Amino acid sequence: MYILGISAFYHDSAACLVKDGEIIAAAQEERFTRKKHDFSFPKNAVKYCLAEAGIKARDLDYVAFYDKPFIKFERLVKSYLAYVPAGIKSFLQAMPLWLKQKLFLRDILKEELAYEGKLIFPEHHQSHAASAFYPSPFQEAAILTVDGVGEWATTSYGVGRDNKINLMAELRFPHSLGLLYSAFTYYTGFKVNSGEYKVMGLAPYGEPKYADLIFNELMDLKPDGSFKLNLKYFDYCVGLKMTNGRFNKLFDGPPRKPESVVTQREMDLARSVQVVTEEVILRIARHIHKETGQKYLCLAGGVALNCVSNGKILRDGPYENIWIQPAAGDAGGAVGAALIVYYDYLKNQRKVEKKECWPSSYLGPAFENGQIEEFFKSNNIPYEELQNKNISRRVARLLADEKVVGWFQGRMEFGPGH
Amino acid sequence: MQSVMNLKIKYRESFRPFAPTVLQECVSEYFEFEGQSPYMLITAPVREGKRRKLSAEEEKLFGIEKLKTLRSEVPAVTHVDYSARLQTVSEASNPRYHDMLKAFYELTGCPVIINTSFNVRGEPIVCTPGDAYTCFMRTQMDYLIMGNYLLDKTRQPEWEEDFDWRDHFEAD
Repeated sequence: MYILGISAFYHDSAACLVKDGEIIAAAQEERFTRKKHDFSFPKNAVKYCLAEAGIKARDLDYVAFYDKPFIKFERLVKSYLAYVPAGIKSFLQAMPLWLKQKLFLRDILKEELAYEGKLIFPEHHQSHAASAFYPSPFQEAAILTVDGVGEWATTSYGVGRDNKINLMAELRFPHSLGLLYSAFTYYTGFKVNSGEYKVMGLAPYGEPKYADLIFNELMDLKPDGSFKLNLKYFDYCVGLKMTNGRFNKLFDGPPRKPESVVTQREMDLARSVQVVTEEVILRIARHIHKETGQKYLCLAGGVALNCVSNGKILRDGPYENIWIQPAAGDAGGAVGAALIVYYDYLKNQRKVEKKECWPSSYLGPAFENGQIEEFFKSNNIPYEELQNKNISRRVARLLADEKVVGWFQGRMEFGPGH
Repeated sequence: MQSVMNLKIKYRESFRPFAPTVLQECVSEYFEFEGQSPYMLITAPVREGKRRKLSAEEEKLFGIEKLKTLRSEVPAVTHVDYSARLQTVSEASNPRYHDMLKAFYELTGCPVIINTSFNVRGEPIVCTPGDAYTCFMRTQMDYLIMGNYLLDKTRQPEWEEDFDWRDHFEAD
């Protein structure tokens, strides 16, 4: 049985192929089109997945589409940031396009893939949680998804058991940890939606000088980790930017201009929002543990890529072990959508036997020696052929001599690249 | 090494830390971490015993200046707060990579190397041999090992492009 999972039209479009419950291929469209965060219909990724399995689109039993119910926000942010002051116009133009593409997805599938079979739109939060739980090495575990920018339920949690996922509670837009982090990403002069990990990398250079200010002024945080943001400081619901004049006044200055010099102030701001994020996540993780009594925790969503807070959960949190879906964004959604059809919709059994369930993240194309050599020959590229047994030592020697070596081996990885 | 790699290979901001790949069997010797972290999604502190004591002068360094101090036996992957974003590699998860790390360990006594994704700032990770070769030639990478073939930068024909590729990829 083959199920194709697709996510598209939003941020990082991707495709994933599940064969009898096992993920056998997955890739993001950007890798083929060479356009970072490409969100067009992932026709190249789909073609690759089908080729990997040696099947045609008509051999698919189901296509599952990862649905994004709350497109509006990110579009707002993106178009505002890019086209101020024509933002409203571009937003209004983008919206019908997306709606149109969703409505006509059936037509797109027919046109691009000649596929006319079953098409399923699993419930959004379920697919998100599914990407965290089903591929995990746990038969039963608590689940926490903390979305990045722009989705309706921003944080949700529940329990996964065998082939079932039961979501118990959620925090809703606009009270979002991802948005708080993105607001500071914007304010410190980085790109929303991709610069968050730079803020994380910058944090250790700074002092958490503004952490109390964030806790006291920007949010109302409860002991269980739930919170409300003080919306008078944020403009992402109505305005042209992530933060507004009141925010600038509170933090004593305008946002840093992108690509200008990073100062101690940005480092302190980064450290502060990082500290706050860790505290909130840890409170939520503890609360979920209290509510569910589970030994293990699975994580997915943009904030789950914050490896610093993941380390905190593991070291200071109440769980024996945690598992993080490596393709945490929309790409992971394609995986979740496909797996939810297999386990929830079709009620197939889920038995965790191996310790590692996720089949590693090497799910993309690989190139045989023959194909590589062909490429060299047709481009007159000089090369040296090594025997299998000599590769390790030779490369290790180069590294020991402080050479920088590009390593292109086996299948391409699925997930975010930094 | 961190500053050099950032500017010469990745063309990205110099404050951004690099992540280590470490042999699974050695991870707890260097880091306060026992389990597996195959996808670089968990940071852990460098072990106390592997840290280098800073002089009083070095302690006073502020902000980006902190980059200039060697903080541990594995300085290029030790962030200024002594954390590292780990990738553990086992025989099962990636046999060829594991084997190469083991050889490096035997040669140098160190089971840790820098690993960063195969792309430059703003570029999607390379997919085909063509993408990989282009990225190799555009950067100051010294060697490229593709399948069983080794390319030496000094033996490559001159790389010519009629545009500046740095304008090609939008900064992220």
